[in-house]
Amino acid sequence: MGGRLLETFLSFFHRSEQHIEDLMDFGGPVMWPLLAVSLLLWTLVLERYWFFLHALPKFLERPVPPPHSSAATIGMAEMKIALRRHLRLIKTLSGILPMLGLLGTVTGIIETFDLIRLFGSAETRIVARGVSQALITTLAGLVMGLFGVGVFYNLNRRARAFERRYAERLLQP
Amino acid sequence: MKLLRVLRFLRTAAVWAVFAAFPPSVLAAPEAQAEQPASPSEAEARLTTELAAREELFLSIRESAANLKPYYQQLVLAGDAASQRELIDRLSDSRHIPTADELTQLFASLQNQLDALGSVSTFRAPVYAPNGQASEKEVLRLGGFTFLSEGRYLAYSPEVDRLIELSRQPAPNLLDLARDYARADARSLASVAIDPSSGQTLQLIVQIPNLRERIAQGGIVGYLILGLAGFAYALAGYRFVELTRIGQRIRNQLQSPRPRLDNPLGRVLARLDQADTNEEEVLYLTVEEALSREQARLERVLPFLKLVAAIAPMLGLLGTVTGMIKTFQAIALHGSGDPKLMSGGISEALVTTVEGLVTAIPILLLHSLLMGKSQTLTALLEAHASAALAARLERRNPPADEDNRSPGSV
Repeated sequence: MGGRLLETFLSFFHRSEQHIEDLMDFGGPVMWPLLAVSLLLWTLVLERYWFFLHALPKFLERPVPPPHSSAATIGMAEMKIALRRHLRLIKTLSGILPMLGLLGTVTGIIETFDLIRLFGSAETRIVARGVSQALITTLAGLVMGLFGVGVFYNLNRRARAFERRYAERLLQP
Repeated sequence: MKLLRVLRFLRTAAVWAVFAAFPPSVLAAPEAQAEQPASPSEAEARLTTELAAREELFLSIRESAANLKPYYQQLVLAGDAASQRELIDRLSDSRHIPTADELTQLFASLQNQLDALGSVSTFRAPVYAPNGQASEKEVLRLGGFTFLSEGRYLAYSPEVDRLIELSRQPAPNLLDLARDYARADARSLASVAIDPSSGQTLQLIVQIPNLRERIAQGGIVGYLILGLAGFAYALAGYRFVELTRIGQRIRNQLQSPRPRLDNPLGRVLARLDQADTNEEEVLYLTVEEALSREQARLERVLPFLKLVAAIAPMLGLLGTVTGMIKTFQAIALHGSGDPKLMSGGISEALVTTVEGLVTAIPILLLHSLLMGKSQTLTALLEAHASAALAARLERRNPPADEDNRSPGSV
């Protein structure tokens, strides 16, 4: 039973690997930076969620310094820095991804024009390849970018909420 | 593989011609006829039929040879190319009467070519370099598809009957494939690029512009964008190093009790120490002024990076528009019949767009990173400065006043 499950999983993994390879092949050279930026975005997002859901509750259990002391001021500032870390980068990366998609579109169209110049426009398959390359990168860029924007708003809301809670704790021990 | 099929068919035809149409009785006819004298009219009739039969045979041989001729002119022939071409010329000549020996030679030559087309082989041949120098080189022949020599692609030129090194070689990854293939072990498998159209596609592919030509296609706007990008990258690198060093110095400052003047926090603390007053409001203003100056220093250049990130795609759009204007002018002058006339403007339009995006994307990323760094430092600075201020006020005032911090209480 377990062997069959593993086999099913492996075949599924293999199939999806093939799909990804096909996709990378169709999308052309811009797919690689797109993939790299998406992976970076995912890593940062996962790190943030781990921080908010796992590290932060533990941190809040620690005793707070007395209010209006210098330690409280510094603690509040460091808390703010920790909460806001990577958030700006996540926002920028979600903005960059659609731009990379657009870059892929333009390079795809350049390739199409090159091939048309060499082989003439009679061969529709050549044109279709360039255009599909253009569209796939746009699709990938938009999907990943929209995902990043949505996650950014959630993370930003969480950061603000925690900031308020921490400030309240500092003022009313 | 059409060529291979034709060759195979022609070889079969030639074999058939040699073995079926040259029965021994025909070849040995003169002696046989001399032994059996016949009546003149009978002999005449026989002669006519035999001549007619032979004429048909010669005709088909000539036709086959004429069909083969273009292939023999386009191909790099294995073996002695000159004599094979001469043989084909002779056989297709209408005044020449083919002999059995020549047909055997043709058969052997066809066999030879088929073997060469179906296998990977190496041979030594004179190769013309792009500068016109001919030299004898080891050439790797991949069937009827592609010729490689020393990791470079060759093309056969029928006009001079020589292999010519392509003056522009295809993309580096294809060249690497060719070089690795030549070095690979003969018994193992190795991948290599072949050109199924026997050199024509390769010669078209190398016309696709390389990076330098692409940049040249971008025109003035393209160079402007690239210049801006280089400047912005240099500034961003400089700021990155500087901010890292400032962060390190602030951390050092936190360890040491005395304010040092080589970092923003030290400078703010020094201003606070120098302030010779107990007025709380004056102290606040002093610290705030010092902080805002340090913050401006920390964020230096960053607005410029943001500006470049915003301007670069717009410049790309500008290039697009100028390129499209060129295209439409070309259409207005020459009509839209020839896509080559329009391609210059279209290339400029697209290349500048790419350059604008390629500039803007990394600079946006760098700006975000640097902004995060500088804001972290600013927040740290503010926190430590206000902590130092609070500590100083505590020292000057009795502890009882701590909760009541309005300026009037001093």
